[in-house]
Amino acid sequence: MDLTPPLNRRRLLQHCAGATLAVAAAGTLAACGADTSIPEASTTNMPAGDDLVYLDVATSERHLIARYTETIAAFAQLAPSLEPLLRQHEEHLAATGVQVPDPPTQTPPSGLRAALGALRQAELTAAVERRASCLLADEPEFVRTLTFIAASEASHIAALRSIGQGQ
Amino acid sequence: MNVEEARAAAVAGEDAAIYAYGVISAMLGNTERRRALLALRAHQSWRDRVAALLPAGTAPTPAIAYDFPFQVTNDEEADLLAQLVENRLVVVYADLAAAASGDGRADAVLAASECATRAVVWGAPSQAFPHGS
Repeated sequence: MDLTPPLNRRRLLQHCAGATLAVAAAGTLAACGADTSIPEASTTNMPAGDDLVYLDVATSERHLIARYTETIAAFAQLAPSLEPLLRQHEEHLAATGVQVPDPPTQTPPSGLRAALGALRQAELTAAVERRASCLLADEPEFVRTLTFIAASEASHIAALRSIGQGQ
Repeated sequence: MNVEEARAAAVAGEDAAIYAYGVISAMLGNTERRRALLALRAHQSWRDRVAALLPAGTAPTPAIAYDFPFQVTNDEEADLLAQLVENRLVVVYADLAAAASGDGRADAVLAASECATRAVVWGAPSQAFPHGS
């Protein structure tokens, strides 16, 4: 298992935060009455404990990427719907800046609905794990990033339900 | 941003969301109106929960009215406003999660997840890092 240098990890986080800042700044915020800008990631040293959380998140994201890739390979008709979610998990993995090996290959359930159900279950597990990660992390900007990832994965459950209803 | 500032921002954001859902629900048919009213109740609940953690008398008071970034005159625009409100609150709660610890942080992450989920249910595409644009 290979941990990339902390500087590289921070640069990835800054890249991610900077991209969202540009989008957030483009709109007015009147509807929420709150400042929703996304500040740049901290450049302070990461507490050592956060390294384990980064590794855990990266492993989880790599697992989800594998499950989506296998499901798309088995059900090509789902590719247009599932590829955006797959790309979002790739962004989550990139935000950790940690390289982890691919998990063992799994064969998705044979039916399309069952395969989507398996993905929903995987997302639910990931969303719960990311909430736990938020409590384990120390560095505030990392907690912020993890909150976005937890929210994204929770929203994937609703997205997958909608995809299933459209089949 | 310290935790009290982040809590005040969350209360202000929830006040705006509550106002917005009042407008949104008026534009929708029965099924979607029911969903909007459930969301309204959820936002009222989070507003009260976060406000209770602020020192007495310091919670922001809601504005009489809020400007929307676009006109809301039909159900499609109401859906878009709901998506926007929910995704913007994800950012507010991410700020709160970063500033808080313990149960306060756990609540903020849960609230952010609920908001991102509602945004998708209202028709927004899911995002890797949800935000209102």
